[in-house]
Amino acid sequence: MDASGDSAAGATKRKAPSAAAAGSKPKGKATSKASATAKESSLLKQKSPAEFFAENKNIAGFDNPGKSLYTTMRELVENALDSAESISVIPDIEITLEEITKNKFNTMIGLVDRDRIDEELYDDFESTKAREKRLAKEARFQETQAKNAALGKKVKEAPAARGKGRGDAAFFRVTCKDNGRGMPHDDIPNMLGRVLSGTKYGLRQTRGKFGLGAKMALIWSKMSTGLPIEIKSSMKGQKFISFCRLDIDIHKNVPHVHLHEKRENKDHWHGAEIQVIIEGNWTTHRSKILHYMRQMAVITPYAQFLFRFLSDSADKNLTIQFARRTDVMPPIPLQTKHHPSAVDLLLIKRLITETTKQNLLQFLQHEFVNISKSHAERLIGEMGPDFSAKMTVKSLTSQQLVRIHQLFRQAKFDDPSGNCLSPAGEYNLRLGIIKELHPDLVATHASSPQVFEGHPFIVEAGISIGGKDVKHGLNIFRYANRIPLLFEQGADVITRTALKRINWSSYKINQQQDKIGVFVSIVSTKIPFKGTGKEYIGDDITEISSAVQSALKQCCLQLKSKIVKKLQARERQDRKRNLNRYIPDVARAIMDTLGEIADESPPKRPRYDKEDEELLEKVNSQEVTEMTFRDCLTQHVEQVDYEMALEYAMQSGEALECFHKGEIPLESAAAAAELARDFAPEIECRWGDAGLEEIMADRSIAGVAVVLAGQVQVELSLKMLKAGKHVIQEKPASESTTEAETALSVYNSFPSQFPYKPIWALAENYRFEPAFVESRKLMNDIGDMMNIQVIIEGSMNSSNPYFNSSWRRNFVGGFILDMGVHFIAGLRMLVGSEIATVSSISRHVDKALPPPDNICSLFQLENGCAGVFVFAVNSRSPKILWRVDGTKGTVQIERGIDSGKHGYQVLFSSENAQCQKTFYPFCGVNEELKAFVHDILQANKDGGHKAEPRSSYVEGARDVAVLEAMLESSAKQGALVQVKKL
Amino acid sequence: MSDKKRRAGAGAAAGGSASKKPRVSSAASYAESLRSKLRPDASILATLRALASACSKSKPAGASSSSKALAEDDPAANYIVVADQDSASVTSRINRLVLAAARSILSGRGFSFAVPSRASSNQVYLPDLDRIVLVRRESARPFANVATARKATITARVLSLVHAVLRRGIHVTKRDLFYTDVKLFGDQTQSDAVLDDVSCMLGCTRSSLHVVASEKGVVVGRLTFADDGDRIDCTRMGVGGKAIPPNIDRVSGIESDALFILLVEKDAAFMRLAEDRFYNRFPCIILTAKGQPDVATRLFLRRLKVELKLPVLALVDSDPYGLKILSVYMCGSKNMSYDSANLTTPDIKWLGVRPSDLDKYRVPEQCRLPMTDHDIKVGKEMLEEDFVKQNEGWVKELEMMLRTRQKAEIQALSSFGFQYLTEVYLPLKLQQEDWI
Repeated sequence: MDASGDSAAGATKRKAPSAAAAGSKPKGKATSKASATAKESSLLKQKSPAEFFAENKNIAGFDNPGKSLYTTMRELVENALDSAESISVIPDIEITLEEITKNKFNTMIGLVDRDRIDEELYDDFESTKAREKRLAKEARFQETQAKNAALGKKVKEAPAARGKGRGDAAFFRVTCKDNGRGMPHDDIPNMLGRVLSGTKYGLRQTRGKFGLGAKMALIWSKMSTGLPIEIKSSMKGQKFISFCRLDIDIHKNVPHVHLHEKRENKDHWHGAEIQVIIEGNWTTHRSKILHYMRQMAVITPYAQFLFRFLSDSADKNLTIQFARRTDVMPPIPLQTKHHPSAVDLLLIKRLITETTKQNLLQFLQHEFVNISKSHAERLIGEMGPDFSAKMTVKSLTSQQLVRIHQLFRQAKFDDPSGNCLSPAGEYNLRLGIIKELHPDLVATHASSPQVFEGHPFIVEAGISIGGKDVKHGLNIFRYANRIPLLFEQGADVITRTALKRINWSSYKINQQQDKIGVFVSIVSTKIPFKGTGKEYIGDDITEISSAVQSALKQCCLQLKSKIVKKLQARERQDRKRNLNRYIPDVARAIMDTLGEIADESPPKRPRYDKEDEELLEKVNSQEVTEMTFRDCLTQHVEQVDYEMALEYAMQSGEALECFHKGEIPLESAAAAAELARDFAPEIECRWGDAGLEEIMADRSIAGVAVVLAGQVQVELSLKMLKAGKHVIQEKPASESTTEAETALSVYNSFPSQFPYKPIWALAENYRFEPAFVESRKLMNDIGDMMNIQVIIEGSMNSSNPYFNSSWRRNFVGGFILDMGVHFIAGLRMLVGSEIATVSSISRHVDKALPPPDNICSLFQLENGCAGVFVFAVNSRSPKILWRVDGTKGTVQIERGIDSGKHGYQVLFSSENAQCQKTFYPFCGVNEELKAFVHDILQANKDGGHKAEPRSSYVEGARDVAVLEAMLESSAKQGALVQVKKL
Repeated sequence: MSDKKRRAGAGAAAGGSASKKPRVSSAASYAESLRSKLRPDASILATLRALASACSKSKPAGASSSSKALAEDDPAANYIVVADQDSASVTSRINRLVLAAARSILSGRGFSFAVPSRASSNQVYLPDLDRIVLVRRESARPFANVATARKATITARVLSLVHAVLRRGIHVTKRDLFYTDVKLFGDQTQSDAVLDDVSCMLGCTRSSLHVVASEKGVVVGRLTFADDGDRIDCTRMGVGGKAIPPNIDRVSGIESDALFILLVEKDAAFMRLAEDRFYNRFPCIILTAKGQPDVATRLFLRRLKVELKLPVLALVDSDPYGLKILSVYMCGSKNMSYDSANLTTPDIKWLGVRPSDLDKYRVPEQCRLPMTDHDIKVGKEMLEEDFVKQNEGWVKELEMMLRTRQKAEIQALSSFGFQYLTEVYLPLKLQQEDWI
């Protein structure tokens, strides 16, 4: 309610209904009009504020019946919100518009409905000629309708038979019920029956515009229907409900009470219900009213609105519930003092008459913000010799006041703080947008408090893409002090900024095609409204327009990265389809030519390589056909797609980590979830920090896999371990041995609060590759080790999908460390002895790769055997090979492909020159996951269970230690370096 | 027979001058007065003979120097230079590519072609060779990449089609090739582009692929040659001229008694020259590609120049495009830079119409056109081109064009009479050796 009834505010309001107040409030135009009327009748007449507003009702938004219906409703809704918020109760508001037909209305006021006798008297009288014409037209229309229907065409709606003339006035009963503070029983008549009395005149952020509130609705009802308004109200803990029926004496600006009584309050209800019957127009302002409700629901997601429209025809009836989405309510705006740079002469005078302070120093210090005592003294000193700190403030002459005013305008003051403001809150805005629009994407931003002309303001902005009931192009939602602005959109600072100063396309947003929701809420102690109806904010205040622009840009920036990711995701989805489309063409082209080559008789055609000849034979024998190529290509596409998907999931892991830092790139994580659904349709997703907490708290989750960028894995793994989860972590174990050592000491120092020690395993670990497991066994048959060769010629270049993940490129040690751990793991597994010392030279050849990209290392095992480790990150001819020469034989493992499967070829040559070849496809990841799950099951049964040593984190850390030693040695030009023992 | 024609032509010329009426404006009368400056044809012919013999003498030196430059630089290492190859070696190259791709596919690695990049940043003008060449820089065209899948597929398809064409020993046009798989190629520019890629990949000229463009250029004049064995006499080809065979391999036995080759930018001027039997008055070979020259015309011109060792004089419009066309004949186009060695004919003389001629011949204002902004832009770009900078005279002419901001077509000379070009302008130009 307007009247929150505290006595402090009461003091201000008492003098309000004077002519001076009426003159100072409205704009100059209104004053001149008033004086013009005064001149006409030479007699000096006084006009009550109520009269003034009755005559100039368009100022308050009562231009016509339709607009009046809208304004009445919104004034009531805003009062209701204020009332509930003032006692920190989450608003629950019911609005009912009930259409009253003329007949009903007449019965209500006791007027007998009379039939028309003299038809020609009426404006909508239809002459016989006109009638014939109309009937003929209708007949024609029906004819075409029938024809169209017969042809199966869409039947057009019959054109609305619009009556001629003004038609009947429509009346509405508007009821608004809230759960707010209510009004003190005795104050009700004055609070509602006296214009320009109110509690909102202090300096603070308020919803109202003129402080007219429901009173204007009352005046309008008086003007259009003459019916009184009814108020029911009860305050918290009050045993009765006040009921009051009153109207207003416009000329005297006093309430005219019909009935004022106390009734029983059985349900301990508190709040207010106001009912007013007015003339209105639902047809013309229906959409405005609904828009208003929707926009209000966006900015006030903590309120619940029930909107009902009732009429005699059931099909027009409407009930919309705007559900509550949150309990978090913005704080009540605080009343604040004026900022010295924002006061005018009149205001200074008023402050002086009202102040309780005696002398000038105290007055300056206490009646304004941002003037401290010492500051006030300096100001007084600056004012001139005829000012002193001790002088009585009420004795200041008007010249002296001008001097103070001038100084206020010239002196420098700190900006007012935004503490007194109550923005909707970025979270609430986002929630409101999501709740009402269901957009595909949303971004929000809140600016820090800023200042124009001494008034603090805050801009909050949101941008949504897509959603339901959203038009293509820009949909602009404007809010000032948390109320929607619906009219005069064109000149508004928000509209103009969105249309002219945002280059949407640079954020990958299509201004015409996309469904863009633009939400800007400005809160301030003074909203610089423009226009008589206070329906828009001018575009001439640079502070505000640049704040709006920067807030919108911030939102756009957030969206851009999301949109880009979305596009990438879509591209990825299309990739497979696009590639598969070309497979038949390629297969045919290759096969045609192969067929022709094979057809040529051998003597005529040139000789080819052995492998080519073999291929041609297969073509001749139809062992290789077009279908073979198709299958191979399909498989290849499948494989590449899978790799890309994995990579994508990795990047999403990064995204998850970003979330920790406060950004919200949910989309890529969501895409990862989609991917996971291909494998596990029932998968559940948890998002963000909260999700992480949930996972940690969930006792039913025994183990987690941490697959993140190398730089951040360890931290998260430890967090999980601490929560009692078994962890399998993606390699590499750490960025450095120092990190690994620290991590291990943290891990080992965990208090044993669980019946088991959480397992910390390392994934993608060559120790599980069957090739190495089997080779390890073969090692027993080669006698004493003589020398070892490890040759790694990788193919990590910019076309490799893994290259594109930025964390890999920014990883300390480059790809040497990230890729190298595999090969060192393989080596250590194969030889079964630790590497003691290394000496290496590294180089940086390919500048597209992070340094170093080549390393040559000489190493010695603890058992004395020496070997070389040659590693090129990017080579033209990828080759990966381990070879151990022994006194009795040789074991060699080489990366290769057999029948379309990637894996390792193990070669064993023994003393008797026999050569044994076996191919082992890759399946280490499956094996290690199996081992991990097995370990979890065992550990939960038996606290002392020893986990599979091959997967242990410390093993992975040892791999890192070897590479670190190699890199260290190379930094010292090949000096011998001991490998750190862990 | 040719004598009779020549006489007839001279007669017509004399008649023309006699019938001129004095009603013409001062510019026209000046233009007519130039006619009187013409010396007898015999003396002009003597000049031309001197030119021709100088050219045939100096030519071997020029040729050897250019081939030396090639050898010294070993351009194959840094630049892509394609050569004519017989179909057997092209076939075997294709075979190798296809076999490698097939094996790659069967091993589960998909396939990828290494395609030389023909991007414009990769095309440079080498002053030593005086032509545009393609820097050797290959980019992979893997199948398993959305960006290149389509191109890789088209490449495989084009390779297979070329293979089939070569094996059957026939020639097809680019259009034929396109129509064999319209659905895949989409539009002809794509198959054409891949065809050029394939040329680069295989290191052979496009004609070695047995894929030719449709006929565009025409030739007329004192030239006989065998087209696929049929003897062609270009003096008997009527006004339209003989279409230049798209497949230069068909051309053999080139013979000529011409003193120079006249390169004409446009069809209209060509027709005038052909109809007036200009080549009979001054023995020459007249050639046009009707605008931007195609590969066949450029090959043909080069062939004529190399075999007959005749000077080449160019008659183009006085606008930046005229010069551009000239540059394509001389230095090659960016699109075909990989084959510039075979396509360019250096040492073409710019006979006319030059910007300085507009005033020299008092071409009336109404026949001159103001240059558009785009013209001026192109003109300024041309000034930056190395091949223009090399020739001081050209720079001057071009600067003059940009200064006056006027351009004119060859047809501007028709304002003095339709035959002014053949009867006065060209003879006078030749007499004065007014070429640069």
